[in-house]
Amino acid sequence: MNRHTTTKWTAWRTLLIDLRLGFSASARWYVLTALFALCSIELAVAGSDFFGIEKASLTWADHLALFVGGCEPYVFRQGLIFVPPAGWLLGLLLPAYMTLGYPYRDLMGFGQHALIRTSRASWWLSKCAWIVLTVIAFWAIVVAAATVITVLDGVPFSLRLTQGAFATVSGLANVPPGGIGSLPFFAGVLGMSVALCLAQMTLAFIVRPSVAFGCMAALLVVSAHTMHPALLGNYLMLARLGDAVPGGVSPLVGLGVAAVLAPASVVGGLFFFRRTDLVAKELFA
Amino acid sequence: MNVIARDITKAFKDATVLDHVTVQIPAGRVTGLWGINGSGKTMLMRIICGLVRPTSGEVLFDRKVLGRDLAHPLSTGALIEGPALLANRTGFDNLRLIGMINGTATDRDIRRAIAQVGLDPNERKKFKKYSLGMKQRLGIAAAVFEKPDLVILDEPTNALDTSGVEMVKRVVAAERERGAAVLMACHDKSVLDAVADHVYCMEAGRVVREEDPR
Repeated sequence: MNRHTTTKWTAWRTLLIDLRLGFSASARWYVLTALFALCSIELAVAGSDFFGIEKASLTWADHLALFVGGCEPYVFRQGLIFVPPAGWLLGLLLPAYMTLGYPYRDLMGFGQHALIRTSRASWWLSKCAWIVLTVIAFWAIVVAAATVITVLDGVPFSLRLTQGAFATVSGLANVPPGGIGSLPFFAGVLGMSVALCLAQMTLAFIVRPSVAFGCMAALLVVSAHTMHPALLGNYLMLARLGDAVPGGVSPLVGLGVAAVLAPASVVGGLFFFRRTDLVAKELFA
Repeated sequence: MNVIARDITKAFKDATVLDHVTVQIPAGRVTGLWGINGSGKTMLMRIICGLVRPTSGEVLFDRKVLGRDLAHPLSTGALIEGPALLANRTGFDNLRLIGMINGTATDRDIRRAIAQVGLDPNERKKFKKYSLGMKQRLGIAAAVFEKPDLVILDEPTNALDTSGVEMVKRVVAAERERGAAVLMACHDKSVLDAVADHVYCMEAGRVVREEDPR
C-alpha cells in the first residue's frame, strides 16, 4: 500500500532537515559569535599594548590564538583570589550553548516525527553530525574575525605564534625568536571543542541539558584554575601550550584525547539513546 | 499491515503504568482505546510508536518485532499528546519537512491532507499563530498525509468544536476505507462508538473490557 524508503536515505534526509532547522535556530548565535570574536580579539590586542607589545609584531595566528588566550594557572598567595578569564570562558561556552538546545528540543518536539519514521541511530548520528558542523562553523567565524582584524591592523598573515601573543596571556612563556607553529594548537582546539560538545550532548541526554552545561562550565573553570593534562580545558588555552610554557600541555596529546573522546561520546550516547524512554526531562533554551 | 501490541507491561521505578496489555490493530479497521486520564492509553501509543521501550512484551508489525527485527515502526503516522510542530513555519512547510524524511509524499498529498482537515493549504500564517483547534487539525493532517499503513491518533478531538469532531470522524472513516490500521484514543466514548470497530476499555494500566460498537 505504501511506499517505503531505505534507512540509508531517511538517515541522510534527517541530517538535511537538522542542518536546515538547526542552523536556522542558531542564526542569531552566529551573529553574536562574530561580534564577540571581533571584540574579544580586539580587546586582547589592545591589552598587549599594556605589556609593551607592538601591534605590528603580532601575526594572524597570534590574533586567532588570542581568542583562546586563557590565563596562567592560579598560584595561591595571600589576598589573591582566583578569577576565571571571562573572555576565554565565554568564547568556549558559546559553542557549548549553541549546540545544547536544539537536539533536546527536537527530541521532545518535531524530532518525534523523525523518530517514528527512521531509526534512533539515524536520529542520533544526524544530531552528532550537526554538532560537529555547528562547532566547525563557529570556529570558521572566529577565523574570519581574526582575519578581519589582521587586515585592519595590516600585520602579516603568518601561521607562526610569536612571543607577543604569549606575553599577553602568560608571563611564563618562552618562545624562540622565529616563533612556533600554530597548526597543532589550532587543530587541538578544534578537535577538543568538537569532542567536548559531543560529550556534553551525550551527558545532556543521560542527565539533563542544564546539568550537562553546568559540567562543561565547571570543567572549563577548573581547567583555568589548574594546569593539568587531565583537565581538558587546558588544551583550549594558549597560555597552557606546552611548546612555549613550562609544564604546559601538548596539543598533540589534546588531539589524541579528542580523537578518543569524540567517538566515545557518539557511541556511548547511541548505546544509551537506543535504550532510553523518550520522555521529557526538561525543555532547555 | 496488522499490528499487535502483545502482553505489554511498562513499569517505572515507582509505578506500573501498563500491566500485561494486549491490543490488536488490524488493517482496514478502527481500533479504539477508551479510558480516563492516566489509564495508560498514551503510554501504549508511545510504545507502539517506538518512543518508549516496554518493560516486557513486544510490538509486532506484520510479525516483525519492533526493536528486534525493526529499528522503527513501519509506515506509521501519529498524533500523540498534541501536534509537535515547528512554531515558526507554516502548516504546509511543517508537513513538507516531515515528508522529507521518507520522501514519499508529494506537495499534492500535503495540500490534500491539509484541506481534508478543514484548513487552507495556502495559509501563510505561522503555526504559532494558529488557534488550538487549527493546531490540532494540522496535527491530524501530519499523521495521515503520507498515507501510512498505521495511523495513531491520541485524543484527536481535543480542542475541536463540533465541526472539528465531525471532521475527525470523516478522516478516520477515510483512513479505514483506504485500508489503514487506525488506533484512536479518546476519552469521549460517543466518538469512539461512532467510528471504532473494536474498543479496548482501559483502567489503571489494564484492559478491563472489550466492545464492538459497530
